[in-house]
Formats: sequence, structure tokens, C-alpha cells
Amino acid sequence: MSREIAILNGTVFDPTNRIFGERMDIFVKDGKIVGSASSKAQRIDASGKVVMPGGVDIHSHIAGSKVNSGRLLRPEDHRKDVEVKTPTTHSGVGYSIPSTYTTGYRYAKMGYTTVFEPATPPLKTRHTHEELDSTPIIDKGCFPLFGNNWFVMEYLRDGKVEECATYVAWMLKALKGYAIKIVDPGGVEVWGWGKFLRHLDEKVTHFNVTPREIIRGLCKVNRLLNLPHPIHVHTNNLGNPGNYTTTIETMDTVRDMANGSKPIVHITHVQFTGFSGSSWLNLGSGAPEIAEYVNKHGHVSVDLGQIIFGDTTTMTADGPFQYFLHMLTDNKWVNMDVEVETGSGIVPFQYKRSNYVNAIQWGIGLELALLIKDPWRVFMTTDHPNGGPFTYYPRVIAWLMSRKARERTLSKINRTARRRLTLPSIDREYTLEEIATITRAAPARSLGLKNKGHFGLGADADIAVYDINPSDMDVLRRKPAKLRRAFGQACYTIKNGAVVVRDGKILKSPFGRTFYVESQTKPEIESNLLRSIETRFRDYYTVGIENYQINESYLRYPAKVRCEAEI
Amino acid sequence: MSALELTLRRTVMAPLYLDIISPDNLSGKRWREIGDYIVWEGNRKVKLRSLFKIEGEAEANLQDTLIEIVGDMSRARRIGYRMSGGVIRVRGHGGLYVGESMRGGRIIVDGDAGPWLGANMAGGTIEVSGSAGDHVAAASLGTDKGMTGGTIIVKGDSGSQTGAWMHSGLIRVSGSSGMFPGAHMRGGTIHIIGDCSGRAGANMRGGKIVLSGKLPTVLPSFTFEDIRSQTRVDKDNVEGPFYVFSGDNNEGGDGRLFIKKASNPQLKWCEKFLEV
Amino acid sequence: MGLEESTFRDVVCTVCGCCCDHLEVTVKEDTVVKVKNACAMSTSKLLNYMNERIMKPMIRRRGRLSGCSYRDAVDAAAKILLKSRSPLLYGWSLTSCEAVEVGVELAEEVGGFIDNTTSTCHGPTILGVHEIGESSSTLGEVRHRADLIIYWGCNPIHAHPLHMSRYTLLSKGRFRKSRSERTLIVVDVRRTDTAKMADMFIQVEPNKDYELISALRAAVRGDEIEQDEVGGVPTDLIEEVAEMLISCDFGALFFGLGLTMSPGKSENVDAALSLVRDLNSKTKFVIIPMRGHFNVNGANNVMTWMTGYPYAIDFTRGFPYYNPGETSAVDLLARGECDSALIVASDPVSNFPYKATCNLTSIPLITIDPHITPTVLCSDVVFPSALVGIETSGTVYRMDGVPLVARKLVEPPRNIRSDIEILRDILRRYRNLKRLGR
Ligand code: SF4
Ligand SMILES: [Zn+2]
Repeated sequence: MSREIAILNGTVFDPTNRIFGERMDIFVKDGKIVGSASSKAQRIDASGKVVMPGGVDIHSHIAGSKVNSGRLLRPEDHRKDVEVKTPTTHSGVGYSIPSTYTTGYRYAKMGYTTVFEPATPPLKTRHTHEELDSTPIIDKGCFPLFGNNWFVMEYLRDGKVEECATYVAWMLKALKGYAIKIVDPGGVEVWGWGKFLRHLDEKVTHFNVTPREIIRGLCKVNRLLNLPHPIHVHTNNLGNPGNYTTTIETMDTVRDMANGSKPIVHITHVQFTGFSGSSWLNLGSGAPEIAEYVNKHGHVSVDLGQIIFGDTTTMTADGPFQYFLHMLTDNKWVNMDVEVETGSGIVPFQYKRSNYVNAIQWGIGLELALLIKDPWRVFMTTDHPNGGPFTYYPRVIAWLMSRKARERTLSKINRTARRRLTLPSIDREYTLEEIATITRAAPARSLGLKNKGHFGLGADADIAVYDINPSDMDVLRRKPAKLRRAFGQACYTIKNGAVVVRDGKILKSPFGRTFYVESQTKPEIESNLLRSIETRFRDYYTVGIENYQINESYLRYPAKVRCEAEI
Repeated sequence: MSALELTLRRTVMAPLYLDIISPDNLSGKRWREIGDYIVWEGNRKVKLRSLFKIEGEAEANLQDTLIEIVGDMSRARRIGYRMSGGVIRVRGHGGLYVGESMRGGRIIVDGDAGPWLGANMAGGTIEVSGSAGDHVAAASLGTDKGMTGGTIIVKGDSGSQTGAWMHSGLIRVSGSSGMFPGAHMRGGTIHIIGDCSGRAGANMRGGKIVLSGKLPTVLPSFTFEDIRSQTRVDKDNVEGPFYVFSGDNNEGGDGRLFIKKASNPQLKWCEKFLEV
Repeated sequence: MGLEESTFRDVVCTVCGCCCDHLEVTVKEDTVVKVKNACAMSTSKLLNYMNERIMKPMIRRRGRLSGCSYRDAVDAAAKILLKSRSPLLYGWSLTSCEAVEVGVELAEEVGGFIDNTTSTCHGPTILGVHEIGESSSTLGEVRHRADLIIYWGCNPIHAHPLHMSRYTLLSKGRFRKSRSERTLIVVDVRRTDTAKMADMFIQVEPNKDYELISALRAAVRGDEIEQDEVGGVPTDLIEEVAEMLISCDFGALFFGLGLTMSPGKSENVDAALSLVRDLNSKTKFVIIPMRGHFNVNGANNVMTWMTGYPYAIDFTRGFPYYNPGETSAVDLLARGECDSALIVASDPVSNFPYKATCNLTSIPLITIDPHITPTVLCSDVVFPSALVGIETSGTVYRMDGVPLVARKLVEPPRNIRSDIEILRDILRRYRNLKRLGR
């Protein structure tokens, strides 16, 4: 049976294929975009509406042990936002750490169809996959953490980049992971002793390697393996005043490895590492400096980590930062260090408009989005749930598209912060095509997902139809609430060729695929490596290598992305 | 003042969610309308009429509204939820969560009440003629804010964690209390007239706990301050003398424990810290 | 699986929360003939799992349990649930995560309560975490780094026999090579076998753990303790211990039912969590609960990701609601608020307090279990099931949250199904009956 859909007369935004708001029809057959459809196709009238590829979220903490510990920590977060069972949906809880079903539904309702969990501790990645498999509708994937991994640090200390690459390739395959994630390189290992690491060139205790060497090494590894996504870096010094210099230094440390115009390093939730100043009192926005660097250097991309005023739950693999946040707020705190690999921490947090620091943070995120000129290298995220729940994306879109929306919020934030931010003087308003770029086309390209984020023939039929009439844009910019509503509740979300959402309601909830990367290294190199790590494995881990690996059959719908390694 | 009377018709064998029963919801409503209200009995929705014989009338004015509930409500939850005025009188067991998040008015239970009596309470008065369960005036799980105002009077005993996370208001228990009265307390007053099973004021940061009966021992994280001849609870003077402790030091707290000297000879050791 | 002898390596043990994954199990003609590397508890389970098995489904007719077809049992179970206003689904810690997932779906569908055995063991631990959080790590961190280990109110020598050798005191880590590089403190009400191995044993008076932890917290803060002794422990000794806690490089506190089930329960854990949290401003310290059953942690995890809550979940009104004490099995049963129950791999009739047991045995009872237990004998519908980690595979979570797959080693006896299959069939039948309006 062929499933055909014809979306007629919509205003289409497909930046990848240079379609910028043209009136045209989009056809779907068997889950793919096709050139035409038969008369039997289900017809969707999209006249006066905007049609975009399904949203792609490059960085959102939706699954895994840390997310689940966050859920466990905060019954009070769930109680205020429950979903009742309906004939088409399971019940669940929401707000800042939604249950798995609710996560899938809420993304779909906003027209998002692909989401990546950006930090999975390798040892607990089976857990991450269990949760991803329990999250309906969206396609997904996860990034294993490598920045504090003992094997990695030892290979890089000994200058064995190729071995390191072989190891990383094996890990991605064994864990069904998608990209190399680096969080506070070296810093989390040092936190294993309750200590802090402050500089890119400070040696990691016992390992005789520096954060700079780890970042450079893994960047080379990424290149050797030809992975689809660049290294995904949460820098050192997150949350410290003046850390924007660390951000720029981190970007600059791999500059010499640049590869044409393709970014080779992605700095994530850059707002959190965009602080200037030397203390909380003179904290300022480092956004102009970071934006200037990004504008001048094509080897970098960033995502925002925009904050939303209100209550949320912060959770990162950055154990030391989370401890610092706990000491700052006196809020309850979870820490979970994971042997050989990483750590994590969780602290509930409230961003307040009246708070100077929070107001500056809010400004940094938006300044970055507005000052970075190339929308292909800045992606919209809230680092869910660290900056705020993903359900607030429509609000972020409204801030970006409407100066008026920004001014309204600016008028309510801490006055000193308002005075010190550049934001009030920025006129730029995002266009619909730029929004389509930063929320789907660009993240899909950055992830190397060839069939996502656009409407080329053969692309995945993941589509969002929004109730926005592009000819009314001037009106909408003056009425940001309308804009928010439109992006919050898609008229239609089509996932893999099936209509899953109509008018903000879930019609059905099939399960999506899980993307993972296989970069094949030469068989003899791999088997040599395996032999060498096998002997160390039981010494390092409390589980055996057999039980560490995750079979493809463990995933509900695995989707392998192949690439050719250069070794 | 005429009363609306709800008399339970049959035994209920499942949890009964009665948060709808409050003067705020029922005042000015005709009994016919009230009978059509739907509540959950376990996983079924039932009409109030099928559960209760409904008689009398609810006054139109909230403050004058009197609701009388007759029957064993021990499997009911949240009678008087968020009420802000008027009176509810339960003749029989009051159930769980009586007066949760109550903001004003009065609830009288002629009988015992289950756990979480007056949880999250912000104002008004609850009087229980019998005993109350654990977690009187408690905070919702995971939050650090319990009772923020109002008065709870229990004539019988109360369970453990009475007044945990309390920020303000008054709790008076005439009988004895379980462990951990005033745990994590931030403010307000708790007076236990009977004995207490121990660990009073654990992790308290503020507020005042007056224990007229026996307390096995004071937690080691409290500091002995003084002996006082009497203390005030609400508008009353309570005669001592009392040993006064401050704490809980483990939380950098500045709460006060008043422990009646006459009932607690085992605490005599602290007198050696009296400045002479 | 044939007549040949075959050996499985790296087998995950499905007995206690240590989930040791280094067992070697030899199988011949679909029975286990040899077990290596396991502790006595585990060996005994693997060699004797065929004892006391239920071999066919049963239904109570005229007061007696008698054999029936699988279909009839599924039908009877679905009908009981369909009639029920307030069904309770309980157990879940001796089965796989995959089965728990179906269980949660069933609970939601029938509008009932779902609770796991956490509510009678480490429930207070979770309540403590809701308030304080926890500073924790995987067991490997302890193995590599810990120079100070505390067992409080637990006796791993008997309850978690390989805990010390694989993860703590006797294990070989990267930065701690041997026993002599670690210090062991044991706190308990009596001198257990674990205590005999300790460098320092602290005997606390029964039910005085809370006082002792409070005193330790005070001493760690550097406050003066005015009493001469607390919980039977001299103040000098408390101060000495506090000094040990502060001056270690990496400390790990393990605690068990001695803390969670003695009076004070969640507040005891609250205090222990606070102590460890406080210690992190002076050194590195972690706390890990000694979870009992091999997958009680997995049950908590699955329930949490599906509903937001780890146990004691109320679906009666169509959404998850959570309030242990109100929605937990023992309390529901004690108040007589359930009118049917489905028990999966657990024996509440032997373990619950008297009043709860009385009410449990007076309502229609469905049990899924591999073995004959008192609960099975009181049931109205009984399903025999396959053992996870022996006859069927499934995911389990170690006490520190490390997920592992417990593998199938042998075929289950004929016609014996896995928990997942049985639960799915009940769910399917329930949905059919409901659609037909019966
Ligand atoms: S210690 Fe526990 S998990 Fe390990 S073999 Fe023994 S029973 Fe099994
Ligand atoms: Zn993140």
C-alpha cells in the first residue's frame, strides 16, 4: 500500500534547496518526498500557511540516566504539568523533564521530527537507548562522551592519534552512538577527586594531558573517521565569569585543522560560555566577541542554549559546574560520576528576570543569534532543559523574529543588565527562511543527515505546516503572541510520510528511528586494537566488554550511517 | 445559617477523590446540581448523588456556607481542597489530605483524620477531635514549602513529621506526636502537649517547637541556650520552666526548641552549660 | 540448545543488586550443570532454579487451584481487571525492564496502581533523594579511587557477597591497588561478619542511626557536641570518625535496610545524604544504596522514564500521580482500597504486614511467578513464568544504574512463557474485552 500525501499551495521554506517562501506543492509517497502524487493522495490544503521541513534539534537532553535522575529528583516539577491518557496518546508528565512519551508528543506538536540527545555516558548508553526507544514519533540519536575517557586521554598523551581514532570508531559502533561529545575535557576526571581544572593548558591529574590536547586530538580523530558531525564541545570553565575567552580559545585551538568551509568544531550552548567580566558583579556579555570570531572563521558552528525565565532543571555531564551551581543556589543536587568516562550533575534552577546575572544570560543568547551573520552556523536550542524546556522554542523564535517581542521582555528585566547589554541596539529580525535554517536545515546539515531538513526528492517526508501567512509577517512581528502560538502548535506534522499531528493534536504515534554512525577502520587495525583494549577492559571497568557493547537488535529501528575512515 | 448535608449511602472500597467538596465550589449551588457533580471512585467516574444522600442547601454567600458530611470518609482524599471560606464539618473519619492547600474558612472533623492533614495549608483553621496521621501540614514531595499560614488543632495524637517544612502558622497537638515534629521547619509554631517520640526539630532553620511532654533526647546538633519560666504560643502563655535549645546547627539553623523541664529529667545534663 | 555441553562466559547474575557480570555457566541438555565465579547465593539459584516450579496455569475453582489452559487464565485475568475499580499491580523487581514497560502500559490501560518492591525496601531512599538529591557514582569509581569505605546498616558478606571483592574493599583499582590502601568503617547495631573485617566498627544503639549521623554532620562542620555520647557512641570517637571522613581522598558510603527500615526511614536517609553532601565541600564523597533485588533499580528507572515517578504510581484518573504512603501498595492494602491485584515475581503474602496481607488475600488475586510461593497459593489466577537471566533474556540495572543484559541460557520448560508475553496477552485480551463492552 502506498501512502501518498499532497500538500497543496503552501508557502514553502526549504533553505537547503534555495526555496525561500515560494507558493508550491509538496508531494509525499512511502515516507519520502517525491515529485508528484496520484489522485488518490491525501490532500492537505496549505494555502495561507507556511510549510517547512520537520524541525531538527541538535542538542536536547531527553533521554538517559542523567535525564532520568532529574525526573527522579523532581516530583514537584511533574505535578504541575500532567498529560491525561487519550485514545491516541499515553499519559505522562511534563514541564522541564517530561516523561518519554510526552517528550515525543510535545516535539511533534511543535513540528519537530528529529532530536539528538547530546550527552550519553558510554557505560550507561544502553539506558539512553531504552529511553529513546520509548520516545515516540521523533527520529533520534545520541552523542557518547569522550572528553574525559581514560583510553582517549592515554592514547592522546602517548601521541597515538590513530589508535585513538580506531578506539572511538569502535566505541561509536559498540554503543550505537552518533558523534563525539566533549564536556569540560579533563575537568570531569579531575572532579572525580573533587578538584577543579581551570585552564586549557592545565594538566589532568594522573594523565599528563591537557584539555587542549584532548580537544585537538579528538578533532583529528573526527577527521580521520570522517564522522558526519564535527566534535561537539561543551568547553571548560562553563558558568564562570570571563569564560568567553575560553570559548574563543577552544575554537581557535583547532583552527589550523580547518577543512574548507565545513565547520570542524561545534561549540554547544555557547550562551553558558559567553560571559565576559571577572566576577558576578561586573559580568557582561561576551557575545559580540564570540560572534565576531564566528563571523570571521568558517570552521566553527554554535548552538545557543538560550535561557527562558522561569523554573527549570539544569543537567550536564559537567559535574564540577553542577556542584558549583548547587553551592550557589543551595538547591538540591545530584552528582553521578561514571567510571573511566565521565560524570554528571543535576540542580533545579530558576532564571529570574530581576536577577542581574540571569538577565545578562538571556541577553547573551539572543545577541549571539542576532550578531552571528551566517544562520547556517548558529542553531536554535535552549540546551533543554538547562536554559529552559524545549516547549519554549516558539518563544525564542518570537524573540528572534520580532524586535517588539524582545523589547517587551527587555522592559521587564534587571535594569543594570539592560543597560550593559548590546541587545537593545540590535535591529535585526530573523526572516522565516532564517528561522527555517536555524531550526532544521542547518542542524540537519551539521549532523550530516542527508535526508533531513529539506524537501529535495528522496528526502525523508518529515514536514511541518504552520498557521502563518507570510504576507502577514509585518503584522505578526507586532503580535508575537500569535507567532508563538503558530510555532507552538503545528497545523500538521508529517513524520516519515504519516500525518501524526493535526491542529496541535496527536493523531497517531509511530516510533521513529535511531541514527548511529559506523566508521569502518581497517579490519586488522580494529582487531589489534580490540585485543589491546580487551586486556585492559576488566581492569578499567566493572563490567566485561561483552556486556558493554550494544547489539543493533537492541534498538527498535536502528538506522546506520556509514562513513569511510582514513585509517 | 442552613447547612448542606451529605450523607454517605454506601461503603466505598476504592480511593475517593473529593477535592470538589469545598464551600468555594458548592456555595450557592442547588442540591440537584450538586448531585450531578462527578468525582472519581477508583478509576470510575460517579455522580455525587450515587455516593451521598444530599439534603439541605448551600448558602449563597461563601462565608456562610456550611457543609456537613456524615459517614466514614477514611478512603476519601482532599475534602476542602483549596477552600477559602465557609465551614466543612465531617462527622466520621475525615480521610487523607483533609484541607489540602486550604486558604481560609474552617474544617471540623468529629473523628480521626488520615495523613497529610492540612498539607500546604496557607490559611484558615482545621480542628480534629480525634487523632491525625503522619505528615500533618506537610509540603508536597520534593518542595521545601509546607504550611504557610493558618491553624491546625488536633485533640488526639499526631503521627510523625508533624509540621515538616512549615514556614508559618500554628499547630497544636493535645495528645502525643510521632517522630520528627518540625523537621526542616523554617518558621511558625508547633506545640505538642503530650509526649513526643523524638528528633524534634531535625534540620530546622527557624520557627519554634514547644514540647510540654517527654522527649527522649535532643539531637546532638542543637545548642543549649537557657532555661525559661514560660513561653508564648499564639496568644497563650504556656507555663514552664523550659529548657531552650537552638538549632539545627547542621543546617545553620536558628530554630528554637522549648522542652518542659519537669517532664524531662533526663536532659538535666544540659544545665552544666548554664552560665553562672 | 542441544545435548552438547556449552559454556557461557560473562553471564550476568540475577540475584542481588550487584549484578555481577563475570559468571561462567555451563549448560547441558537445557539444564545448568556448572557455575563458576559466582557467590554461593548465585550458584544455588542457578543450580536449583527448577525446584518448586509451577508448570501450568491455574485458576481457582470452587475454592481450589486447578490447572487450566493458558487462554482461560489470560481471559480470567483480563476479566478481573476489567471489573476492578482500583486494581494494584505489584512486584516488578525480579523481572526485566522490558516486562516492567509492559506492566506500566497495562496499569495505565486498566486505570490502576503500579508499585514495585522499592516501597518496602529503599522507598525511603528515594523520598530522601526528592529532598536532598544525592552525590553518587558508579561502583567502578569506588573501586578505582576510594580510600575510605563505609557500610552502614548493611551486611554485604551475606546479602551482597561479591560487593567487596568486585567493587570496594578487596578490589583492585587504578589508584588503589590493595586492601591496605583502603580503610573500612562499619556501622551497625551488632557485630556482623562484615563488621569483623572493618578497621573500625561502630556499634550504634538500635534505632539511633539518625542521632549518630546528626552528630557526625555536626562534627564534620566542626561544631561542638554537647552530649558525652550519642546513640551509644562516645563523642570523642565521633570526632575521630569525622576527621577520617574529612581527610580521606575519596570516600564511599553504602547503606542498607538498617537505615531505611529503622524508625525515621526517609529522614535517616535524608541525614545520610546530607552528610555526604556536606562532606563534598571538604573532600570527595559518594553515597550508594545497597539495592537488594537484581532489577529493583531497573523497575524504578523504567517507571520513572514512562511516568516521571519511580514507584507507587496511581493511574486511576488517567494520568500518573505519585505519593508514597497514599499510593504505595502496603498503604493502599492496609486501608482496603484495592479490589484486585496482579503480582509479578514477588511474594507479598509472606512479606507484607498482617493487615495488608489480609486485605490482599480477600480480593481477586492474579500472580505471575516461576515458583510456588504463599502468594501463588492464595491466588485466583496463576501464570507460571520463565526466569529472567536463565530462561529468558532482559535488561537489568545494577544498584548504581549500570544497565546490563541478562541472557537466556536454557530453554524454559514447555509452555512456560516470559513475563512480557503473559503481560502482553493480558493487555491484548483486556483491550478486546473493553472494545466489545464486556
Ligand atoms: S554478589 Fe549478588 S550479583 Fe554477584 S554473584 Fe552473588 S548474588 Fe549474584
Ligand atoms: Zn547540553
